[in-house]
Amino acid sequence: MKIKQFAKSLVLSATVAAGPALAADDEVVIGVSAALSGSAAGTYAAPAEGLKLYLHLLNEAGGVNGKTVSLVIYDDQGDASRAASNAKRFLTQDDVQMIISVSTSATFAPIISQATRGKVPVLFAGSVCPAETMPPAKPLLYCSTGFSAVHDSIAMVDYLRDRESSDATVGFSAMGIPISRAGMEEAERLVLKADMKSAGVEIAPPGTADYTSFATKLIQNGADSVLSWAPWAVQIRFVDALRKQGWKGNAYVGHLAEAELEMMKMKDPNLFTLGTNVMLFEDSEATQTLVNAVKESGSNLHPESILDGWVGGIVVEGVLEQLGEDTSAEAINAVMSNIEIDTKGLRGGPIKWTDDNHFRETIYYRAYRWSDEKSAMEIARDWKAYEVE
Amino acid sequence: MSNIETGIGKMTPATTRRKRLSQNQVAWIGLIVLLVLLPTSATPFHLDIASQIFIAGIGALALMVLTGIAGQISLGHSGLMAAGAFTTGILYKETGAGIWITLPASVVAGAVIGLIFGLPSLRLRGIYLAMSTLALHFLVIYLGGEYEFASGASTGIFLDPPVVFGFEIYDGYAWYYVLLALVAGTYWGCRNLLNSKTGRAWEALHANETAAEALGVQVANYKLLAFVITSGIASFSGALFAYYQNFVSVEAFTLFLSIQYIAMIIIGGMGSLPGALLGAVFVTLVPYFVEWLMEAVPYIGLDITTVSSASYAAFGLLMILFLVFEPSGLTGIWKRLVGQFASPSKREDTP
Amino acid sequence: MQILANIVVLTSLYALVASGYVLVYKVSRVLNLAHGELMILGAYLLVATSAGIASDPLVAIALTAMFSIVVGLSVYLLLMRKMTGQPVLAAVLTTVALGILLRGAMVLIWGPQQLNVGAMISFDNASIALTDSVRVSTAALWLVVCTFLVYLGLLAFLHMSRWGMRMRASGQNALLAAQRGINLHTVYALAWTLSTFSGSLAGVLVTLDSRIDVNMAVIGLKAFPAALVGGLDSLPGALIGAGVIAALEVLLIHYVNPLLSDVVPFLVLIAILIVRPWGLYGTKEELNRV
Repeated sequence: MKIKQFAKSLVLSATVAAGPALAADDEVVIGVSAALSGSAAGTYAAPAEGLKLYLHLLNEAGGVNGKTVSLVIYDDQGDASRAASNAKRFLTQDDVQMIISVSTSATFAPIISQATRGKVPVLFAGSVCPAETMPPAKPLLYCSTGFSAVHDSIAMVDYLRDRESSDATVGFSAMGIPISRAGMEEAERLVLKADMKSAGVEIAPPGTADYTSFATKLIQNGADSVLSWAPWAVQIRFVDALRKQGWKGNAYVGHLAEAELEMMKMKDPNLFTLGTNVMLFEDSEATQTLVNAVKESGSNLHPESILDGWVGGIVVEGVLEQLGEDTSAEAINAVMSNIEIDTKGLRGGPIKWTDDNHFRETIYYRAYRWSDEKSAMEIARDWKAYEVE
Repeated sequence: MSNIETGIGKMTPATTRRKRLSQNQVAWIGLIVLLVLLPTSATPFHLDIASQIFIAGIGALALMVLTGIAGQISLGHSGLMAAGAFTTGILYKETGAGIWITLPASVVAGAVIGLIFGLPSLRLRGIYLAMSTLALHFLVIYLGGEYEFASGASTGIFLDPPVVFGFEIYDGYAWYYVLLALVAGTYWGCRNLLNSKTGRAWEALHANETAAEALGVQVANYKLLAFVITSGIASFSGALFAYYQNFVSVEAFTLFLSIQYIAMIIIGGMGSLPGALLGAVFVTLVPYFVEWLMEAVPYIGLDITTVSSASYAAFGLLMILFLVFEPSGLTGIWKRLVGQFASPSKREDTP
Repeated sequence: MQILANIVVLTSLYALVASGYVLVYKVSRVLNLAHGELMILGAYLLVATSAGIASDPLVAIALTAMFSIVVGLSVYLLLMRKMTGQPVLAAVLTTVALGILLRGAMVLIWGPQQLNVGAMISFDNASIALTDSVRVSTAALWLVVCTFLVYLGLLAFLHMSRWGMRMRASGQNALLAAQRGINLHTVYALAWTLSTFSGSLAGVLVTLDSRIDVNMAVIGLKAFPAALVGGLDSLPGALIGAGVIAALEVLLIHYVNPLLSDVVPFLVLIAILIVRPWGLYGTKEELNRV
């Protein structure tokens, strides 16, 4: 049970930070606010471990240019008030030079608000990217994940147009949180613009237990295919509800951490995921490194579930490489606002940030599906680049 | 009564009362001095916790008056706080209004909602009433969510720190004193209210509505008054929450928050205003206490998700323990402790 | 037509859950706000039995039913028994606290991730065509059948058996019932056991139909207006209340705005309660309870 060791080291790092946080010149203190417990922990606890694991290995290898990273991790339970509390603690007590958020969109507002006040850069490394990181980006806010309601929608609709007939009717399923709704309404606009028909956007309130009626409505509105962009549990229960009513169309959902394992169990060849991460069934050097690192740490987490946090770690490493003598928050922000980071094959291309774009200049999407012939997962369409405007 | 007593035993009761009064005063002055001086030795983190306790204290006082004194159950407390926070947030975002407009507006909004959702209380009792307040919660959250979505504030509404007489309240110290003054003011206001005719009417209708009516208490009016006043205060605390945290979003006001407030008044001790404050302290501190426990025992051998859900479960267990073994809550424990200390001196006084 | 089928399935779910509220309230005037959590606990018990003891679906479900009876009995004996004679508000709040405790404990034991129970006991939740255009899942069909059987069984039990009679008598007047030699503790324990059993059954079936995580306990909250609309102490009332709330929810989702499906049932509830403060079929309570 290495997860215990992980927890211990979390606790230890928290203990270290609870004392006077003396940031040595060669040590960069980073505060991490993550949903380690609560209803969202199923999604965010694993990437938080990925981040921790990557930076732990980085420190063990001697850091970057003699600089090491000290993580101060606090649990926010995906709850806004706790995130606010954590952010205040980072700024006033732990004197962090950077904040990393691995938590729900509910915690964005407090984190952004506190960090902007305290002039400390924030990296969103496990969640959907807040609109504030996209052009025109607000200063100090950066995002390393590939999740963006609007851009995912663009890529999903584009892929859907490849597969479906040009007069297809498309249904949409969102969760009743602003970010998911905005994404699906954008997707509907794009579908209508492409002269396809819409069966409507179904918005399920958070905490919906039964998606049957939502699915019925889309089926009755004649949906040939369905797009969904929401937390994995919502997307997949919605697809379940459609299938239960005998619906056989293609379903396109966002590629989230749970996708690979779940799709291998569901064996549904008409279910496609669109996303910016690779699935780990492919053997590449980068995926091997990740899988081995998880194995060696003894953690019982699934490697694919930590990928976004791991990439967050790669970003931190890239920033440290460019960082000079000055390791202040201001200097870190200056580096982050103009950088290109190689994602080592875990994504379709590099993460590139400029002054007014803290998301991606070009974003690469890949589609995956279950293949009955191969009885394995397969790439349904390889990387395709989209410009971010 | 007191005249008769003083008439019979001239010396002793008078001295006892003076002594008691001064003891009480000393305790209060001591507490105030302690609270005023506390920031000198506190870290910003401690100040943040203290400020959270003060905001929770204001909300808990409101719920204590409504449920503990006037006997009306509410599951809509979190909804009312959301109403206050959103009134402030929307006014600030749309008009840039200052604190002198947003705070009173939030109180008024809360009071109006309180009036509307107090109306069913004229027909409904107990559990049925609690349900109608649950509707209030869902309604406010729905409307707030619609506003967030419609205004494109998908990550919530951001608020700048409030400016009072040219001073910006942002610093932890400033907030500490401002909130301390506000919670003290709310406490003082509630106490005076309880000692007034209104307070006695509430207690009467809590004890027995029919009897209260027979005694000439206008039950309907006083019930509604309880809803209006406490909803105004709850809404006020929600607005303070918004300013203190610099943001408003529906996701911050869950049903669990309402339950936490109910836990505060139970753990503090039903019917006691100091109990509401004690409960606020206790419930706010529980998660930090568990966290501290983890830090103190680093080799406890549990992963972090385990510890966090254990603290959630522990919260439920604590509530159960209080309900089963200490129904009068922390105030009950406190009174018993004081009683043990006070009883010997009492014996000395009585000849 | 599919909409009608959806309403019937949802009605069955709410009715089955609401029957648990009614049973406990009818005999002891306590509203069990931990019912949603007890329901999901039942489903997790299935996860536990299928993983540890029995891999055969039917054996696993039968064992789960037995365990749920044990759970119901222990909730009464270890906790709620201590609250008899206390103010009803205290008892209700105790159930709230129990709900929180159970939630924490379930995450502690089974983790926060969503689990696919159906796959665990190799239950094939196939889609069944009732007519050309109406389809329901296997689990949903079971849900409708089970709700029907549970209601039939409960009504027969309450009205025809000796213990059923005793339960009704205790609910109408506890003091008088006790004087007539009815052991109130046995009656209350019976009510809690039956209530937890029907709740667990609902939990098992609904999670077999989708997936399981702790947040599914919210169904308890949704079935709540159903029990109240009908009147908290009437089983037929709960059935009708479930129908009203389920129809409202499905129709709102289909024709109006799904986001209103959380709010409107409660508003309708208030409206009905203002006209009939004790629900459609509930017994009018003269006493100032709570």
